[in-house]
Amino acid sequence: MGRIGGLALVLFATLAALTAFVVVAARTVEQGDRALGGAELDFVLGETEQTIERNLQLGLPLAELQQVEPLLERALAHAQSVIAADVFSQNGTTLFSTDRGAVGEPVPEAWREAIANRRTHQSWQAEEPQTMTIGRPLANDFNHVEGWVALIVDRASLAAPLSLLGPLLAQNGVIIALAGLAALILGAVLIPRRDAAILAAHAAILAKEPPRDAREPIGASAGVAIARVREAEAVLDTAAGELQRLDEEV
Amino acid sequence: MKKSDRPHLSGAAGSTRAAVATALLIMAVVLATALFVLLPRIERSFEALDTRSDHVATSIAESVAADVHRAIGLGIPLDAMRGVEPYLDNILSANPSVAEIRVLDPTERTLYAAGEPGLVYGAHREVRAAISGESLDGTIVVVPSRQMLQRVHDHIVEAAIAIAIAAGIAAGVFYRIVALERRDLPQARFVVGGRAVSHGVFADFSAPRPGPFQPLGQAAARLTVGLRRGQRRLQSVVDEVRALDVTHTLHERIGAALAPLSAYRFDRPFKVRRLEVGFVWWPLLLLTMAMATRPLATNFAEDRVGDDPILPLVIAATMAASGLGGLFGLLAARLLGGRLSKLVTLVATLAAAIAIGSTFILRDVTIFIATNAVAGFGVWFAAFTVLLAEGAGARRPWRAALVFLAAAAIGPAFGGLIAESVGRRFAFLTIGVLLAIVALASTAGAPRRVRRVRTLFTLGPSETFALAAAAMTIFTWSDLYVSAAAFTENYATMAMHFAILGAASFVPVATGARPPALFGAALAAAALAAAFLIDLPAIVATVSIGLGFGFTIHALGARGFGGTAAAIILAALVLTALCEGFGYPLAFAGIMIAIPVAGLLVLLSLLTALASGRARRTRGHR
Repeated sequence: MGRIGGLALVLFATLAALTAFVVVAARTVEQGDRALGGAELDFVLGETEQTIERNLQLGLPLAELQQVEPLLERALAHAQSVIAADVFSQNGTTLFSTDRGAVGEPVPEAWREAIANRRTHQSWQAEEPQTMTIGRPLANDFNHVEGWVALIVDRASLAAPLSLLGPLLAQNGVIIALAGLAALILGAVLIPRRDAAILAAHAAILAKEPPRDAREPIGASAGVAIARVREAEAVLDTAAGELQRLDEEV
Repeated sequence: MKKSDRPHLSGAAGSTRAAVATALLIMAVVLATALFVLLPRIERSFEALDTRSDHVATSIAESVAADVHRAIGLGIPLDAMRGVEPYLDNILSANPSVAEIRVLDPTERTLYAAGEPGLVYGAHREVRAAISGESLDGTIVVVPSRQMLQRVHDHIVEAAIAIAIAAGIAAGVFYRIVALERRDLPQARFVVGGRAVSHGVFADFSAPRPGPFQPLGQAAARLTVGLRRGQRRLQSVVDEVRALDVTHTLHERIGAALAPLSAYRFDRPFKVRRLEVGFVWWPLLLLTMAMATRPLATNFAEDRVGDDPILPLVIAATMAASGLGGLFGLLAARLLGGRLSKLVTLVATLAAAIAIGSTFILRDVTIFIATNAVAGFGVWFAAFTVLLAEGAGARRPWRAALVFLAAAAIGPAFGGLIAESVGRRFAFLTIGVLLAIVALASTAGAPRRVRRVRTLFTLGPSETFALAAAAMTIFTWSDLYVSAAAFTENYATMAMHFAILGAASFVPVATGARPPALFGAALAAAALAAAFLIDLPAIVATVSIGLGFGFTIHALGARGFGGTAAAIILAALVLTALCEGFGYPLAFAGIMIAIPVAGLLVLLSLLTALASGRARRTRGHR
């Protein structure tokens, strides 16, 4: 690779790496934001679940617990991103909800899938176009799941993917460009110019004169080759002259 | 002048120095800019995290206030409640985003408190919720923790280190490959051609490929054209004279005239078979993409089963599936690769791409293990179809090093950074899509002709044990510890460790240091043992293990990258998986089984080295 190619590579790699850094940093901040949002929801959900389970442990059926609705209203009030809170039975029918119209209705298929595919720990999460739902099981004293409590969250309230990227790139674009320039300047100092020996050997071969820079390996190789070619030319000329004379004699 | 002091024909040392300088320059500029200029500016966007922390703290404060208010409603005085501090401790342990909770009476006197004040943002940052019925009964104060902030900050720093190293190595390797193809190999051809001319061989040397040596090579070719033409003319005169000299009276004089020319040759003294070069970029891209799954695979398998006791078996099965799939892929490449090169690279790579990409929708761990086997088979089949072909990168240790070590250094860092950015499932999907593009790229260009598959390089017993020990150490550290145990779902840290591991393994290649393979294996195994037995810091262990692996593989030269070495490395992966699997019935951590096994392999390497040394001495005496 030549020097210009090397410098172009340094510039490109520096710009690409710093842009990638800003992308990863933006995503990391967004995910931190999302994790904190998740922690808030998890706390509210956990509190609601524990309170409902305390009532279940008194032996009452889930559908007959009168305290559930105020608890769901309280959960709704505590977390700003929550747009609804539901409690539904094991067969997927909504028993209590902050959205009165949902009571008695079957829960969305995405929730059932999320429950079926949940990992070994107990909570589950279902993604839908406008909302995200997190839920936990409601178990009685005998660890039998009586139903589920779920919080429905407005996705718009969570950090949108790559929402930070644009502003961060705009703020730091000039710095990234300056860093690329600095890498270019340092590269011009550090990356050696290696074509001098090639150019010297080329000039020497064209002139059929020994190169000025006859160091190993290019110059030396060119030098001995030129010397040998000149010697061979002289030998050929002598032989050709002699044979010419013989030709004339014949 | 000693032979070792002479400049190399190809000028490879100069190219290596320039590539290392390029890599170090990029690493330094990227790291310095990221950490000292960009990070302080990015930290301004942490305000969003502050706001979110306040929301969490507010929710907790209001919930605790409601609970305390209910207790007051039952007639329990605020200053006589029992079990409040364990209750607050429970909330704190379940919510790491909160550092401290205090319950104050109406005079702001602290009645109950829980938490670690050292984790707080600052003295003035706290959230309050009133415990109020008809009058103010007290206040709940919640102090947000800086744990998440610190975690985000640490991840960004680790990502900066991983990106700087990966970018530096990628650029250095690219520089080195281009320098190799455009400069070093043409220079070697020119210098050898020049030396042949100096010995009187004026054969028609073909001109070099486009690059800095092309004009020089063309001029040098023209230098001998006149000589060959003169020789042909002379030969026609000789033939003419001999035809006319029917009495042979001039025979001796013709011989005398031509005698000085006997020192020269005007045609090739031997037949030259031109080997194909290039296409090294393709196995490099393929292996880089495939290695990108290394930080993800074992911890994905782990997440499928959670705390289930069969976890070691699942991790072992995942690793063993990759290793066994790879071994079958190597075998298939040996049997079929040379004949069906383009078809194999396309189909096998596409199969691997689909297997890896399908993880995006996978839930079942058994299917995931099966996809690992398919991916391992496809990747190694395709890669070694190219690398085992005669004239491919495996012929030369430095070129192969650029493929294997570079892929192992760049790939996992890349995979870790993608997972950090878009999540693990999307990372598998992204890698699958990129692999599909790599598969299609393998069909570019002219059809690859049928080439002979090279005989597998053989390794001596000592080298075999050393390579197995070093590879096993690497897999134990990176796949069992870094990916599956220490930094689960912490992809920035994983990416950093993999990048440092890869950079360290490149040090012997960059410096030319070449101690025996046994030294590298012993260093790696000792570092692994020290990490778990005497708590050697993880970063020091990562550097030492990477260095040890680099020394081992570099000591083997070209053989370190041949089919035999690849089979040993894959067998070491399977052996590591077996150690993990045996941890299940023995109720022992797999890593603690792998450490003595790696040590045993080092010992076997030492013993076989001593035995072969003694045998050599005995033969010498005879």
